[in-house]
Amino acid sequence: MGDSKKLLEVKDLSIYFQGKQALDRAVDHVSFSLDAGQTLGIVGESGSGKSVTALSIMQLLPIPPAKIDSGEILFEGENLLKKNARQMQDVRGHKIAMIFQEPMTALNPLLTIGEQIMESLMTHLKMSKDQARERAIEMLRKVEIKNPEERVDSYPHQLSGGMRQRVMIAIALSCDPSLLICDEPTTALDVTTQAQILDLINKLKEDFNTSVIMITHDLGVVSKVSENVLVMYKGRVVEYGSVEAIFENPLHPYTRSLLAAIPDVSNRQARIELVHQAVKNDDLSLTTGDNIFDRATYQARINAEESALVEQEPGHFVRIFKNEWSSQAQDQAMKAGESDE
Amino acid sequence: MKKYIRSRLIQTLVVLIGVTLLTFIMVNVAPGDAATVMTEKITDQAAIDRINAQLGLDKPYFVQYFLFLRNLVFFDFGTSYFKYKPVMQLIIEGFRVTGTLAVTIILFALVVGLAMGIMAALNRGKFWDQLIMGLSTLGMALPSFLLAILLQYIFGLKMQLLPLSGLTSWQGYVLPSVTMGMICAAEVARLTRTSMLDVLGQDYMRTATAKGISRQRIILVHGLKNALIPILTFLGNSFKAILGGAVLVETVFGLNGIGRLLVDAIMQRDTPIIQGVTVYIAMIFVLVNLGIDLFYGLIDPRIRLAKDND
Repeated sequence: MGDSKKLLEVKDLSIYFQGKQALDRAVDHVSFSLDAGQTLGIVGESGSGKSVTALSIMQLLPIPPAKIDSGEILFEGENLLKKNARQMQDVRGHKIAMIFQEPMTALNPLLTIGEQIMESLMTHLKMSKDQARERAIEMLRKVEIKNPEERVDSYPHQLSGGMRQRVMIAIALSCDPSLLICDEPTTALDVTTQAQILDLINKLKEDFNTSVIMITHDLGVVSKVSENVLVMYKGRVVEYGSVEAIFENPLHPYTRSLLAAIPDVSNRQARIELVHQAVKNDDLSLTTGDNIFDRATYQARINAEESALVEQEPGHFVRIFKNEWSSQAQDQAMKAGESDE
Repeated sequence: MKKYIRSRLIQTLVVLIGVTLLTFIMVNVAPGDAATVMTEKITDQAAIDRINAQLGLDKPYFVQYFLFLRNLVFFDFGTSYFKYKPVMQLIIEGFRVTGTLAVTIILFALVVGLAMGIMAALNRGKFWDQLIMGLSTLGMALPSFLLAILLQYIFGLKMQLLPLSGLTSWQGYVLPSVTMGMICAAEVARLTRTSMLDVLGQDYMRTATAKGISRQRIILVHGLKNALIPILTFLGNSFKAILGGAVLVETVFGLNGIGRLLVDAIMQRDTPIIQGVTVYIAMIFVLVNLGIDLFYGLIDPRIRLAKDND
């Protein structure tokens, strides 16, 4: 695949859920793209729309209540939203694979892990049972499970959470997909296992030459694996750029508050900064401060004013309000002052 | 697993002794006896004593019970007081009819009930779901004898497709099997729907979909297998109940099954048959329960492996 060719292009995607009193869009005019072999991190808190975006690529959203309002999802040049159920079957697990958040419940308790890996091989690559079994053992070895010849006949309940997530990775990569979507793959795991799983995904992405979308609420995870970052807040993209740009020069106040919330051991902070308030409590107005993102004020403005993603540096986009051009410049100046210290 | 089966079989012995002792006591405590039934209204004490001596009913109760137990070891339940045949033979004859009936009813309920339940679950809230659940409620509310008579009227009398009653050919099994099968299927459909709806919302179903395998495989292999346990429990219980004698259906369709054998025997105080059938029913319960347990293990590795460690 040529470098210039986009593997995935999401254009102007909007999704809402029916049945709630307000038709709040879960995903609001989101656009991004991904090159072959690249990793994109999608960051945001619960309810920001990051998982819904990922599920919509695989068309795993329950429709209804979910409804895709507008947009295109171009994968290898074809619009996935135009494909019927049968055509999507050929894409799922074959071209695009997915790893989910909960390894404890994501595997079928009644089938051996071997059977669960073999299934997609036999469906997509038309392998015989013996071939598929051999490949399943090979995949278990690749995800660094010990004694794969024995483990292939184990049931999920005989494995730990970390091992189950390895099995999920083995299933996902078994058919050599061009895109792997990881929906908070480490959230449910303990810290040491988290690091191991991330290292494994990083390593295998190179081995399999797979593009990855890493969905997480943890910027630490993103910095470890991604080249580009998409920050989402309440269904909208608020900032989009390379990892370096986002981490060194975060432009959106929400991104800044997220970054401030990463614990820094070297800094010996007494307290970790908070990202204030959960999504739903918009009516409470909380304090000001350097890195504190004021949800209420922001929400009021976003309701009242028009905003747009604007390219501030090459490849670095941020959502700003139409009449904020001047204050944005001030902000930039202030930032420059800070970095002098 | 072997250890588990062994301990279950030991439990069976205890159950058998308890069950036979209880029936023995109840049959003897209840008013009326075989000799009175045989001599009908004649109150000739000498005749009654003679019959009692012949049948061994003049011996003390505990002697009678131990004689019964001794014979039980050799699978000898004695001879019926009224039918003059060995009880074992009568039970085998009844079991042929009732067993066939039980198997066909359960198969009917399994196929029809599962299909309807899955269809209802997949179309939750839509027309098919509502239609199937309506039929299911009707099926559960309808008394079996009423449904039996209705079917007899339509297929036996009006259309003359099937025999009204009796067992001259296999066709005699059709109406009774369908009658009970429909009632069972109604419950199976409802259970399948509930169980499937629960399973369809599980994470592993989404994983299965994400793998891009066929919808059929997702529903049958990933879905149904997980939904099967409550359905099997119900079918196992129904199987036991029918094998123990489907009295109403056997009566309406004139089938000489276990149910009728037992009811007739109770009316006549035919103690050997009552004892024999009781032992038979106890055995059926124990064996079918064991069968259900083994089936659980077959389906669910968590149950199977837990029992290995017992």
